Amino acid sequence: MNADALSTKLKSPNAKSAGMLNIYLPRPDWFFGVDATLELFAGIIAILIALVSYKLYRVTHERSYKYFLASFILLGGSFFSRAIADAFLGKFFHVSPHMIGLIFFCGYIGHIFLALAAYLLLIASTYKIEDKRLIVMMFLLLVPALALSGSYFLSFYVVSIILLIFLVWSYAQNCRKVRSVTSTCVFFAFGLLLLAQPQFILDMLSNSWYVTAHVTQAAGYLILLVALLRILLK
Amino acid sequence: MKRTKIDIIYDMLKAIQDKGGTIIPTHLLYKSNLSHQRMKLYLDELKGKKMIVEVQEKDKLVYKLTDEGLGFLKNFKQLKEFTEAFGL
Repeated sequence: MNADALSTKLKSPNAKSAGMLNIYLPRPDWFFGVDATLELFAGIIAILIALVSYKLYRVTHERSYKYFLASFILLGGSFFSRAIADAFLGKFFHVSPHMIGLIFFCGYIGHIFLALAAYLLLIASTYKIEDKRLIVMMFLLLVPALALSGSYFLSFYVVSIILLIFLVWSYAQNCRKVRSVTSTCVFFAFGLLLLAQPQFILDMLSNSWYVTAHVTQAAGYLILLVALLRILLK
Repeated sequence: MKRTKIDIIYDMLKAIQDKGGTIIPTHLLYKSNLSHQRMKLYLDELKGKKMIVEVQEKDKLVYKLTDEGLGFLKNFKQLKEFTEAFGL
């Protein structure tokens, strides 16, 4: 969602304001609550994947599993914080105007930083980057890219696209090498997560992109759930 | 097809399990189909991860499977599928 990018556009009935901070929510009315539910769904699947990887990390003690586990915990936390923010800024709860700014920063900015840290750790585990200093450096490089940006969300989605391209590339190579249904599921799931990002950017133009972005993202997590179930049934 | 790291670990631990949980180094070398140098590297890793222990039994050096090692064997199929699916 491009809340800060469109902070001056407050003609919409969905706009809320908190002092100096004006927040525009580009959701169609009927989608209030559905977005938070889909984000909650994505968060639960991320935590389920984290639980399975924790079980396997305990068996192997491999660093790549540790990074993978940490990345899905962060991803889960990222979706939970966004779901809470969307629910509070939607119709579920009525909050005082001065609380909106706090919810915005804790929910959405939390979502952004947790998600980017998660993608970075996922890259570290997928590309077998062992050196912690490199991972910290990559994360620190992202901070000015976001903090100095005119729009947190636009920068976030652009950076997410770049990181997800590398992940999808790696999963495509892995899928070609392994040739299993589960690895194909993982490749398609991350492909859909990548496709969802430009749609989130396009929601500046039309509310319907916000809906399709959420649906694409949820489909990606649904496929990840299928992959996880296939693993657990082994 | 080339064996992955977890395949090799599985083969080594399975060889120990098939021998009743205790194996001498020569048998392990033969069963795991590795060079002496590579087997030593894997043995160090397995000992480090507490999947096996090295003990002296009647003037002979033997390797024993631990509960951690048994846990690996039990979860091997899931572990392999997960590792392959996410390219870990």
